[in-house]
Amino acid sequence: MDRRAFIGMGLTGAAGVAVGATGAMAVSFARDLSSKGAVGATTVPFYGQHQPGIDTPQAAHAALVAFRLRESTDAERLQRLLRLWSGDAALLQSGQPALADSNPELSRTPASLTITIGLGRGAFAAASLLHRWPLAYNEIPAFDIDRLDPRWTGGDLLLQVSANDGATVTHAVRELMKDALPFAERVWQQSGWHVQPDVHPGESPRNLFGFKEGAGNPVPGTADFASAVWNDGAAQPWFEGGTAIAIRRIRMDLDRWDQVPPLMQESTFGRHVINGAPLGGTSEFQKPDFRMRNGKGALVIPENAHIRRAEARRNIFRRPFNYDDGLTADGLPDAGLLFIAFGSDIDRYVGIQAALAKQDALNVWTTPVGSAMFVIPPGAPSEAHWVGETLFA
Amino acid sequence: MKNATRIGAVVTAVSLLLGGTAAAAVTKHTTCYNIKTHVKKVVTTAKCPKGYSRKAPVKTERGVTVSMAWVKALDTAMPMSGGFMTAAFMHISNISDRDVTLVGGAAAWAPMVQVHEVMNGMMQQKPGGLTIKAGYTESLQAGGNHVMFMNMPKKVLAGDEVTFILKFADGGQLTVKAPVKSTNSGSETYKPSM
Repeated sequence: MDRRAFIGMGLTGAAGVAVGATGAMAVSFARDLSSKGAVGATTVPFYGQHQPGIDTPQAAHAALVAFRLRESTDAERLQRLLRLWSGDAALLQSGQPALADSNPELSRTPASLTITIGLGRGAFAAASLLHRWPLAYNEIPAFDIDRLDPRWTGGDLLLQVSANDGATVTHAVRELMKDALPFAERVWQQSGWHVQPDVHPGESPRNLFGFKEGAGNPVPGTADFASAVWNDGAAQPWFEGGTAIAIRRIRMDLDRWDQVPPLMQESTFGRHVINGAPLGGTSEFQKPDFRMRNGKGALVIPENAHIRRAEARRNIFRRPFNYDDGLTADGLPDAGLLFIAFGSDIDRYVGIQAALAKQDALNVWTTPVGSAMFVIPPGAPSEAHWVGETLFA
Repeated sequence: MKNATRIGAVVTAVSLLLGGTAAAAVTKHTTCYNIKTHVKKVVTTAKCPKGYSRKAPVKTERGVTVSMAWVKALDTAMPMSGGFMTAAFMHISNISDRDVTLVGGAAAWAPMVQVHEVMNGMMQQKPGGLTIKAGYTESLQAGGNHVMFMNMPKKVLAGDEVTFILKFADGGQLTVKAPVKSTNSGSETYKPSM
């Protein structure tokens, strides 16, 4: 409900009534007088068939926050937390303070804020609902290339909070974290960024190796996207309209990558660095020709090129953020990609990752150091509902 | 910061008649209403006394709205003799043309409900209740005015939804539904077993 609009309606009620000595009434709209540009004022609806932060435009700043449930948190308590989160997420996304917001001014710049709520295997266990687990895997399987750090791995609950203003993200995370305190504690948090709106309109952004990221992604709103991302509820009716999220923190060895000659960088990715076109092609958006050979009979896109190994990627939707957290304990750049993929089931991602782990030329310069996956329940259709409700119905 | 927010700034001047002047002399008794409190008073004069109007008041619940209501969670509260206590916070907007006064409340889960203020750091019942001027919004917030619930046999827990009634001086009532929230601001060392 928009309180300010409602108060404005009081004007009509005030007219034509005896008011004694005062004689006149003063009524109009209360206004938020702070200035806000179009980017700051933009809102994304929280309520809908699907949760926000998946098929909605990707914002510039993101935080991924994982929680571990307290031992006392059971099905009943988990529902109470999900109700609180949904209520505050809806307020914050609309640019209103959360209930009991400690810094309400920080909530008045929604900047396309989206809040996506995920449930890990541990949440299903705590709620005695393992029989409703909707995914083919209980966790992302271990791969030989993994060097996972518990700091960025696992978790019972997930929040993906994203907006075009970093302060909005930090504040929303704080408000939602306070909601969670009686039920869960924060176990890890990762921040990332994506290209700002209007920096490269109509182009895919570049990753920290300088290559374009995102070609071949299904386009939100299309049938391809729907079949790749939204679960149809055939196996678990409660999960219809939901999806799965895979999160991989992939450290990129920027120092050693810099030593790689440009042509070798291109054959590693299988793309031209200048415009993102597949090798042998001219446009970022054209389909790679994996059979094309050069004059010497060699494959133009090598056998172990990243895009060849990841060919099945059209079956998932990648929505990654870059990260740069300074230096590791060893003094190396702690930078890379917060790889995020959505899929109607996790097996699609696992299949692609297994192929990459086996043969991807890029593995020399990239190391997965964090890994987590969560069930993303369908959206709350209206104010009367909350995210996760169908799981408990 | 002042808690009361003027709803409007743009003046809509409304010239009006006072009800009493047009009354015929045949009336032996005139029913009048206190303009501020809406309390009814029957007089034997044709005219209402100063501060009263013949105009029947609009019941408070039709001119007052409540938004952003929440109740403080007691997840960590220790059992107390006399039961548990908590408080509700909210914005109360008076969109009617008269001042209204919140004087108390009721809840199935709390035998005693009072309107409280914080004076010199001490919480106490607000004498005469909380008046919300016509066209203003009062913010009941932590550290200031609040609705106090006392002698509660059970705790209210974060994520619950509770219902309570606000009572106004004119007899008007408003039913409010509010979520229960924890306010352990940022305390990551919070332990529910404490």
